[in-house]
Amino acid sequence: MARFNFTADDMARTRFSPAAAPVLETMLVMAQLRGLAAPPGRRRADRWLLEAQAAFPATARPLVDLLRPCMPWPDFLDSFAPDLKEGLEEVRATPRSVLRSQLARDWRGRAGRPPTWIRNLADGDLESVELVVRALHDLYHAIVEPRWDSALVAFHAEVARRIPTLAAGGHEVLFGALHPRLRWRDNGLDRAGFDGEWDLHGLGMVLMPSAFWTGDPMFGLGDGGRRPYVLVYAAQPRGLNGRGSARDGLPADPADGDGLAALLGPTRAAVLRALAAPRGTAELAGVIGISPASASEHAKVLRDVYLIESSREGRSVRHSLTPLGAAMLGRLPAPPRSEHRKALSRTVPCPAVIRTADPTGANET
Amino acid sequence: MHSGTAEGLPAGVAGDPACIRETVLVRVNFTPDDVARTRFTVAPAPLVETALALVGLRRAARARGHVGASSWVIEARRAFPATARPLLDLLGPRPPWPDFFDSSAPDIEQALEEVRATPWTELRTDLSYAWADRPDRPPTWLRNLGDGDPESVDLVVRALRDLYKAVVAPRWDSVRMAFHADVAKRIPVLAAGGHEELFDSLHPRLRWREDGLDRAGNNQVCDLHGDGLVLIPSAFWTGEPLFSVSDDLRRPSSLLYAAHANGHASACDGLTADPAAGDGLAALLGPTRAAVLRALAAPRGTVELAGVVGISPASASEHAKVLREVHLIATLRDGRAVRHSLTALGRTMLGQLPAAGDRGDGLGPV
Repeated sequence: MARFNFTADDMARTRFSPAAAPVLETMLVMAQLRGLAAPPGRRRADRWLLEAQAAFPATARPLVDLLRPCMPWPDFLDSFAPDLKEGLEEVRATPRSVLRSQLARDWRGRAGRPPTWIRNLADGDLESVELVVRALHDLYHAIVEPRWDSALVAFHAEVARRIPTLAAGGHEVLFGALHPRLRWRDNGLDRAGFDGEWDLHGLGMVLMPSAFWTGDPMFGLGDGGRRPYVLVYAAQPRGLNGRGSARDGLPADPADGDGLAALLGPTRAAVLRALAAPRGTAELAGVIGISPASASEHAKVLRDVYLIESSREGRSVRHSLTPLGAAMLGRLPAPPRSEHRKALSRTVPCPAVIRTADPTGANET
Repeated sequence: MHSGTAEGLPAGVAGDPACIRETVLVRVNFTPDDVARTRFTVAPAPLVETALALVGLRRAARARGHVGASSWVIEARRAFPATARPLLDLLGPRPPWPDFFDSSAPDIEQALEEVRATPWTELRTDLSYAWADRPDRPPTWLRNLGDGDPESVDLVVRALRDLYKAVVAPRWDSVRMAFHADVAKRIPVLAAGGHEELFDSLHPRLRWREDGLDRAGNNQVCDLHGDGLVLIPSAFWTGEPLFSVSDDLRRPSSLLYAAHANGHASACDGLTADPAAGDGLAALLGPTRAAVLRALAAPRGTVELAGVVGISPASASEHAKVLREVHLIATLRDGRAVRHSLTALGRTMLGQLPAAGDRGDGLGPV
């Protein structure tokens, strides 16, 4: 049993991630391809997984060396940054000592000598680091990026789906609802399946639903209090589209009927969509091609139902999406406060650890 | 709602030895379990809102001379029933108030049953506070109430019921709307920032600090005993946040705060007996589609939905389709019929919370 001890501060700082993380999702795709989500024999060939196998770029092969089936992968590969470039920078900035210790630990117990390029990587060889960065980059573009819109929709739909449970039941009920292996008990979170005990150092836990991951919940460990622990879990099946699972709804080309325009009318839908980037009233009017008075009126209606919020900035106002508005659009929202973004994406010497669900595979039932 | 209440002025309440004249903190200590069990109440409570409406009227009367009383205050003064006058003896403009009205029952009659069952003799001390800053002796009926006299209890129950009917019930749609709008605004803050940011955003005087909640005001430290805190947005309350920390575990501890004003000076300024006014959802979706969405707070078939909203089944089906396409509702086939229900997104849009134990869309875990 894995046990996470919370203080009241940790609990009060436990929150959903403001955005999905491209590098993390790329690693989770890799893990799915390596069969980490389910033990052999129970794998289901999802349509997107078959497509992903076909589209797997040769340049991403170094990741095959780094990820063994059914084992955790080296921690430096994880970044929770909401932006691909930023995430790849974090990977690139991994110090040599961290590469060395993590690769040594990872290779322990594996048969044979690591390939030359991995030995070079452990020495901090820049070319080998670039090999990894390029692998993540190319895998992202080949498989994740074509499905990114759908992944964001799944992410926001999942958060929107969970927050009423959180509001009405508290974190205790929320954790119980996220996955059968998670349970709040006696001032802490239990996770059946592997062993360990961790404290959260007052930073709380970040909840990170994943559209691509289908396995048991995993944890990004907090690196000794330098960043919050991250709970990565599979976005709930049918959370979004009523189909079998969130990942079945990851078409490479989302055919988008304009339901929002049918709901709100085309102009107001355009106003809401335009506010995916925060704008002043005049700019908003210009983007949509309506008068400022009309833009202001539409903004008021949207503000009254909390789809957007407006803040005064000197003599003008700026409108931006609320999390509810973002969920409505199924879009990436601006993080609610800059600290969250920092807390999640801060470049630290040692990126957080992802432990796979069950390193030994022994506890799978 | 007596222990731990600490409204507004640090000057304290005459006769209450716990109140001192300096600004010190109310400190509520949380265990991790307490935070994990801190949650919003799922619906506004008619009895609490009734009592706070009376308090609001008293406070408005004290502030006479200030122009611009809320329209509801002016209307409520006109509609104030004579039978509700005994409440003026019981509920002063400032706390502490005896906690007999502190019922979360979603139905007024049920709440009044709880009032009847109140152990009045235990409230004797609290009742005396209500009279503490008055020079004269409390009226006979109030003294009798402290003895549990059934006639006095009837007087209170009747007063509450009549006040509810005259002042609160006509505005109930609007109270509910303020409640749900507040929750709709708060829960994304909770989701993205955790309870720490949620508390910080509720009121300038509330602040999360070192495993607990601080509130400038009165001198008390409370523990929650692992039961968490229930958050109650109130439409009629305009003052500072009120803690009600129960010492006897009969009911969970709560934090009542003024619902988000949503464009008004305070939420109660937006309270209206006209259900069509101030309806942001109707302005957004049109009145019919807003009514369809609200009607689906309870899952319904198309025909039933049409009946409730007062439109044709074809029109109900068309509205349901539009709402379904943006994931505000979900439609499940049920034999030859279909059933529409709110999705989590739809529920968030309405600010509606699932009942405790409900895990969202009614879907089990993976």
